[in-house]
Order: sequence, then structure tokens, then C-alpha cells
Amino acid sequence: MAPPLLDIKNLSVDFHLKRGVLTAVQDLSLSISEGETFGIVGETGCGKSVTALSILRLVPTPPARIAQGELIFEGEDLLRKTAREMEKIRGRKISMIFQEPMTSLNPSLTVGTQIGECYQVHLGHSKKVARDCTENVLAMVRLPTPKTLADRYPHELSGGMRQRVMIAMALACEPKLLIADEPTTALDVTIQAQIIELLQELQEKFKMALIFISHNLGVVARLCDRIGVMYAGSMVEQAEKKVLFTRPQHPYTIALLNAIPRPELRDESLHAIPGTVCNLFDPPPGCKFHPRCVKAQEICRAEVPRLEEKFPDSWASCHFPGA
Amino acid sequence: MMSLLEVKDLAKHFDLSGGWPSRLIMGRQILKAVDRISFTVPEGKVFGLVGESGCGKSTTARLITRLITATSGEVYFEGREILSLPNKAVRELRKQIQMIFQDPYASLNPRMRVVDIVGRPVRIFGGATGRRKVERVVELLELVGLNAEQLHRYPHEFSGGQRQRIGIARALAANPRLIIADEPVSSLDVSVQAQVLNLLKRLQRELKLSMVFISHDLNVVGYLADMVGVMYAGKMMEIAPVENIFKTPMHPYTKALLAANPTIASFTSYLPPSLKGEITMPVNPPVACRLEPRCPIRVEKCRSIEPLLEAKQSGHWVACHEAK
Repeated sequence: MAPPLLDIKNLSVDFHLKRGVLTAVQDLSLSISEGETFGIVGETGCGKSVTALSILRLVPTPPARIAQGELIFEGEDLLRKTAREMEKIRGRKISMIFQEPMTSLNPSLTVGTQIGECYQVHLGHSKKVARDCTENVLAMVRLPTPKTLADRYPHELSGGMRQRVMIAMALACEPKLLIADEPTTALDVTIQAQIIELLQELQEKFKMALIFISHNLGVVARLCDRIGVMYAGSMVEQAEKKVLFTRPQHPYTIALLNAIPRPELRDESLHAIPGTVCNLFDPPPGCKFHPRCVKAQEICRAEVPRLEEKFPDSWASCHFPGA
Repeated sequence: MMSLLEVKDLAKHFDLSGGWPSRLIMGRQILKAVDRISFTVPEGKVFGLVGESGCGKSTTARLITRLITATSGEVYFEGREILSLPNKAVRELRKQIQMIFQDPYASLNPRMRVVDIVGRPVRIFGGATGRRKVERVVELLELVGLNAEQLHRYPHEFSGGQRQRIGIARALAANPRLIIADEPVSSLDVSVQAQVLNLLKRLQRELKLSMVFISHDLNVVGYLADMVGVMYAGKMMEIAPVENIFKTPMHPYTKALLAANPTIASFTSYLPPSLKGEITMPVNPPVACRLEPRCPIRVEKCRSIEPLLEAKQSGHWVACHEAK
């Protein structure tokens, strides 16, 4: 088997703040092959965005510090790269799309200028060639009238169009890996469906790998091949999509799936997860989910469960996996 | 069945024309945010309003609660027209109709303690003061799953889900007959959202509350509502009992919403093509179906004749020329 495109090994990210040390990501491992789609789901504060940002080394350091781990991309550790080497990778080999397209586009530059920059900086194109490429890429993300659109400013576009511009920018240099951090969360459902369709189509075209981060299990179910579920900074379950939805192993995953409202459930109460996410400054000992877990035993308080393969294509970090 | 709330041809138009120079050049720009919609909320039932941003669902909520004035139309509450009530009588009305807001961070005053936030409507509407007021507040807090120890805390000391509970307790303080909930669970994570939905469902059943429940999330509306109204660009597109909306939707927009709705079952199901194009704001809209530019089944007359909401089956209303 070919080596994976990106192999994250035991990544931990700490934030050193006035209140103390907060472990945002703890001992996280995952690998993605070329052309694969990996979904990361989890609730607010589970560390999914920090994971994404650390792949590109975009977490602000300080206060953050990558405490341990390796990020092997195409055989090389990204954590050992210099700042200048990273600049060549960002946008060229690994690109990212963010949740709120308005805040990630420069309001004072036209769309064309911002996309053209990628071509000029990474591929060394002249301004004129860059302009042609820009119009092509705008047409590719199915924006109408790319010629006039390139001269527009971000505020003149709707949310869905802005997100298409972000995608165009991210794909300008045909990266090997695209990281999408909640790209559809701010959009309406029909627009969200359009963007998901577009991502699927473009991914096929360019054979690129995609890390898709979302809090919405439904969206991830639609798009991804493999899914990782995060809770309080740790990967609690990682499985092939179908396996995850038909045979979830970790109690948190099971609880999450049961908490989703559906019209069929209207005569019963939902299985809400009691309590709230633990304080990350002072996480409970053992398994971080144990205070909210229905199956918690003595061992869960004492010993941190490791992410182990419970059966083919299904990994979970739990002492008592399964339904 | 007695209907508690009856909305008739309710409309709200915003004038975006600006000053006279732009008016001279551009003409009058009228945004028809809510355009002659009608629906009824039966006693003790939950009416769900769904739609995407800008469809007018929040404006509708504000019109019913008289937070903004309507352009035209009538709203009957317990058989009495309320849009024409003088401002003084509106106070009395607020005792009956209370609202729960989307953002629990913005809708609670950060400088007030819980006892004051929930205590205020208790004092104003219930006339209770001193110890009686505090007792009632504790009662309300317990009703929504909080406790007396949290009485003297400030909003920032609570999590998002708990803050939404405070918002619910405040709305219940006046013993209202109708609750208008505008996206009350949209800013919450799934696990917390489930807690709040359970609470709303329990309270609705126990207190026999009538509710207008607004959400962009079909799953949430499907779980809580008895009747569903689907809005698009200021117009009501379809009104039906919740089972019909999910099993036999008739309007192409409702169908598109359902198709685009991400559910955990979608890992196997075939994904039908999504609705093309984007929502256009109904500024000076032509007399035509609002969905026409995006509609997959449009015909010639959709451009010239506006489809009216009509009953295709008993209790199932659709505004579409081509819906079967």
C-alpha cells in the first residue's frame, strides 16, 4: 500500500494561558491517503479547528505550543519545516477554507486580485497570465460571468458566492490536500447542498484529499469516506462511514447519534447527553467522557483508554465499546 | 378546534429607497419581507415555521408580538384583533404572548442576576414582590432544570444551554398562553440542543402551551411541531401537518429543502440535485411565483400569475400551479 499523503502521529497542542495550561488536542493520530475524504466531527471546543490549523502550522504560538507529535506530509515532517518552507506549502500543496468567508477575504481588494495573488506568488505567473487563470478557476467553481466577477469586491457577493470564491482561491494551485473548516455552517441548506456538490465534483477532478470539519453529522455523512469523532481534544472514534453509522462503538458517538432530532422520534424524548463538556483546564482523570457516560465504571476513572481497532475499519478509545 | 392565533394576510414592507436623490434615480425600492401570509395556530399545538435566511420568519414573529408594526393584515389572538390595539393594551397582551430568542448571549442583560432577569416579568405581570417573587423565580428555575443555588449568578456564569433555559424561564414567568420561539436551539451544540428540545417538548405538553416555533432546521421542526409552514422570500409556500410535510410534500421548494436537509441517513441515500441559484431578496417583486427563477418544474404561467395558497387536501395547503 502506498504511504498515506498525510500522517498525523500523536499530535498534542497546548495553550499556555494566564488561567493555566489548556490541552486543546491530545495524542491525536490520523492518516489520509491521496484522494480520500476524511471527516472530523465534534461539538464546540472539541479541538477540531485547532487540529486543522496545526496541520498548516497556523495556530498562534505563543500562546499555543505543539507539545508533541509528527505531521508527516509526503514523507516529510511539517513540524520540522522552517517558516519559509511552510509558506511554500500553504496554498500550494495544502489549502484551507474557513467557515466565515467574509472575514477570510480581504474587503479592500477585488476578488480577482486576491485569487490572482496565488498564481503570482506560488506559480510565478505574470499578472496577465494570473488574470486568465483566475477567470478559469472562477468558472470552474461555477460562478456566473467570471470576467466581471473578478472585478467585484467581497461585500458585493452573497454568502454562497463568497464561499465559492474561497474554494476557487484554495484550488488555484491544485493542492494535494484541502482542509475545509466548517465551510457550509454559515450557509442556508439549499446553498450548503450546492457547495457540497461542488466540493465532491472538484475533488474527483483533481484527485485531492479532503479533510472536512463539521459539527453536523448529517453533512459529514453525505461527503466523507472515513469519519473521526472528537471529544474534549481527543479522537474517541474513527471508522469507515458506513461502519460508524451502523455500528458506532464509542458511547459518545452513540449518544451524539441519538441526540439528533428527527420527525420519527416526535413521540419520545431525545437521548440528550447529561451535563456539559468537561473543563479543559482541569480535565477529569481517565477517560474524559466518563462523567457524562452511561457505562462508566471504576476503570474509566483511572485509566485513559487508547484508540484501538475494535473490529475492521472501526477504532474506538473506550473500555466498554459497542452498543 | 378553536384557533388561538389567526394570522390573516399579514404583510410587512420595508422601504429601502433612501433619500430623494436615490429615489429619483432608482425609483422606490420596497422590500416585501412578509407578503400577505395567513396561518392559524390551534390551541395547545405547535406551529413550526421553516425557511432559509431572509424568508421573513423572524419578521413574522416580531409582527405577531407587536415589536414592529405591520404594513397591512390582521392578527387575531383569542378572537380579538391585536394589530389595531393601542400601545397601552399591548402591555396586557405581552402577558399572554411571550418570546424566546435565538441568541442566549445577547438576549440576557449581562449586568442582571438571574433572580432579576426572571423576577422582572414575575413582578410586572404577576405583581409579586419580595419573598413571593423569589419563590416564584425558584419555581420557574426548577421547572426549566436549574436550581435555587443559581439564583444570584450572572448570565456569563452559565453555559449556552443553561442560558437558553433562563430565557425560557423568563418567557414562562408571565404564564403566557402563546410562546413565540425564534430559533431557540440554533446556536446550541447537538447534545445540548437535545436537552433544550426535550425541555420545550415537556413544558409544551405539561403546560399545554401553544407555540409558534421558528427554525431553519427541518429536523428540529419535524421533532417539535404539529403543523408546519414553509416560507420562501416572504411568501408562505406550503402549510401542512408535520407528517405530510415529511412524507408527502407537494411544493417543489419543500421538496428541495428536504432533499438538501442533511440527516444521518444520508450516508446511504442518493442525493438528488440541489436547487440552482440563490435566494433573491423580494425587492419590488414582480407578480409571479417567488421561486420561479430556481424552480425545477416551472411553467410559463408561473412568471405572470402568482400562485395562491390553496387546499389540495384537507389541512394541506400549497401555493404552486404545478403541485400535485
